Amino acid sequence: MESNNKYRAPGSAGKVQADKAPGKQVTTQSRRAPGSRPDLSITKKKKKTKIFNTIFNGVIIAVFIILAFVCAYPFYYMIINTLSANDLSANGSVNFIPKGIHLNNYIDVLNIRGMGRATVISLLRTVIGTFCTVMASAFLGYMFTQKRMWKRTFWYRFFVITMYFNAGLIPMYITMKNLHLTDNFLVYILPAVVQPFNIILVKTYVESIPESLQEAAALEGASTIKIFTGIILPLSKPILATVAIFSVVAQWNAFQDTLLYITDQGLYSLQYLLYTYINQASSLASMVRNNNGAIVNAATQQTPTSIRMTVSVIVVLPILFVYPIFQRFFIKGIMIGSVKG
Amino acid sequence: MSDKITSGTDAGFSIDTDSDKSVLQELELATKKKEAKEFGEALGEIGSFVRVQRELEEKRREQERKEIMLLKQAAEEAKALEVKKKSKKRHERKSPTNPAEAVALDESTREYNKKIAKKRSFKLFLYIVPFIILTLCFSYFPLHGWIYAFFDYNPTLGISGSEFVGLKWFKMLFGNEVQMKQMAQVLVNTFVMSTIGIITSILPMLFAVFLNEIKSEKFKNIVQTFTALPNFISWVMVYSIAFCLFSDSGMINTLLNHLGIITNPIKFLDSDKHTYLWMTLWSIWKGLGWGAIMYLAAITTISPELYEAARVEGGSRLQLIRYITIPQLMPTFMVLLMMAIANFLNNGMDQYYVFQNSFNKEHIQVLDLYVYNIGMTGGSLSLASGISMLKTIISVVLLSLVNFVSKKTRGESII
Repeated sequence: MESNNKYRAPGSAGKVQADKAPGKQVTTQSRRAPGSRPDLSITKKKKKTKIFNTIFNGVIIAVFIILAFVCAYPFYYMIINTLSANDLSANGSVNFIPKGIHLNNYIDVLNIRGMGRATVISLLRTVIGTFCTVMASAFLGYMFTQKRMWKRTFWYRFFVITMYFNAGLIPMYITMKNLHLTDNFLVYILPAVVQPFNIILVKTYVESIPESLQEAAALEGASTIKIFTGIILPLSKPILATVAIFSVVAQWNAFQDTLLYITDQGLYSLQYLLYTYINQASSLASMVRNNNGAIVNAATQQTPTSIRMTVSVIVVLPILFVYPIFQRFFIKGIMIGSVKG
Repeated sequence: MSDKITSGTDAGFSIDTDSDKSVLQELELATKKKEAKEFGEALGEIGSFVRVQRELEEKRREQERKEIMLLKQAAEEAKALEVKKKSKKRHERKSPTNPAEAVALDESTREYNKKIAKKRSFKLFLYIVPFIILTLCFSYFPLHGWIYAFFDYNPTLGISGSEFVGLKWFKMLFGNEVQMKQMAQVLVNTFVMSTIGIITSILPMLFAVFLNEIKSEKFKNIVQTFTALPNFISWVMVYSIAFCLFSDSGMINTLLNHLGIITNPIKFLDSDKHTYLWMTLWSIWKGLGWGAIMYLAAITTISPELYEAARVEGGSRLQLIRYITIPQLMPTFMVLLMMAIANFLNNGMDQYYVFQNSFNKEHIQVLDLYVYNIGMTGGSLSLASGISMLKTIISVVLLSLVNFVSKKTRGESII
């Protein structure tokens, strides 16, 4: 096709070609079905399209490479800098390749008081909170598919409508105080158990499971709970995985609830601790330096920046590990979610 | 007379579908009541006969109950239904020619079934009661906090010890010159941030559309993975990254210093310059890739035939994007847009809280952050409750408005 084109119209513009040919013929030919002999203006156009396509592809690929770089590089930058010699990293000479690799940063940071406890708190709230949310979402999502339930539609709306209003920060704070949930680990778990959006997701999914399965089990004498644990839970694994991911990320990243309801340092979550560390990195750095005593080594000496970055990396690493494993679930979950809108 | 009865009994056992059943039951009920009256009178004369019949009836009823229970459970399972129905009908044909019996039997079973159904439906409801209590506690109960907006609330004294001040706080909000100026600035910030947010919400769509133009699946996956990553870290982490890159001793300043472009570090974070721009850039950085995933999912549902047809007609790539992909994505975009409008006042506070400092406070304080700052830091719990209350009410009004518009224009609600 390409050589054909060159042979017929050497170096002349498409418009001229069209003018040269008898008008009537051009119009009839251009209306021909594809597969018939292509006329000159079309092949010319195709060549143009090809050039356009190449440029177009080049541009969007370049843009996407830049975007991916902008999104991923900061993480990479932090990781290599925490692994590199601290004096080099403070110089700004570690930008792409780690230099003078050592692990002292991590050892020092993990030894800061409160760090280990905060990690445990964050892990606990993530595991327990996610378990509760997933089970509650699954159970409620299933229950709301049971058409026989007393005033089902009303109660469904009762849950879903809470997505669209909230009392506000201060009333919420006063409520938590009245319920004695401030400075209490349960404040991380209880308010997050019922998540209307997750209930909608699960309900939509359960509705897609053939009802005859439940009927058959009921005929065999299975109770509602038995049907839930024996049929619904195993069958709705994909959507529950999605809910679990959302919950894990939300729980691990939550920061506002610590800020609002927790004053007891023993209950600080890792995120909140990170925030305070970022703000007081200088004093922490000097503290760590003092702990290390007389041994002065520029490469392993803690600077405010190294402390900040190391804590950040420790906080972000679990997400970096979990994320690729579960990425395939997101799209599925989002598609189910978008059905509802 | 016999005609009526056969039709009645037939209807009683033709439980093909639920709707069928209910309609027939209604009809039946009316006729049955009438019949029962007539037959009751007629049968009064032959009491002894009836007594014997009743015993038989009792037995039969037991049998009937069992059968009907089974039938009900298997109502929609076609095979089971088929079998049951046949046996039922056979049984029915043998059943008494006495009309009174049939009538009484029908009514009693129905009543019994109703009772069972009610009990079962209530039992189902009992399962969700704990969750209802949780929702009441954490979603509905806090609403009572709005009354603090009408008191001079003192946390140590409680609501009973606080003084009722009526609309004092609301008057203060709009009456006091200084307060009014501050409030106006906060509202301007909120409006600007939300408006920019709504305008930039087109970016994820464009991102998805152009990413879809790339043939290589591998490249697509890698881009998707990397760009969605920032969505999964908290705003605290984002701030931490911002600090590493843009603080006085951060990467950018060090780099520029080495290159000899600047001598004094540029204040990226500790300044009030371009606050809106920076906040927008950070939210785009965090949300772009993730937002695009939804559109990418929507693109996969577009029928390939549309593209084929357009290609046959000689449509160029840009035309395909312009006339097929984007219009097909419009519904998704509209839903998200309406949600964004409904959430106009809810910017969230995490992002602004972590980035705020004494330099940029004037332009970064959006409504949510303002409520926190005056309530938790400033200690005016009542004023903060009042603003929260106004905010929620306006949000709900906006939501219902948007929902109404959506119903009118798109024919479906977004809630």
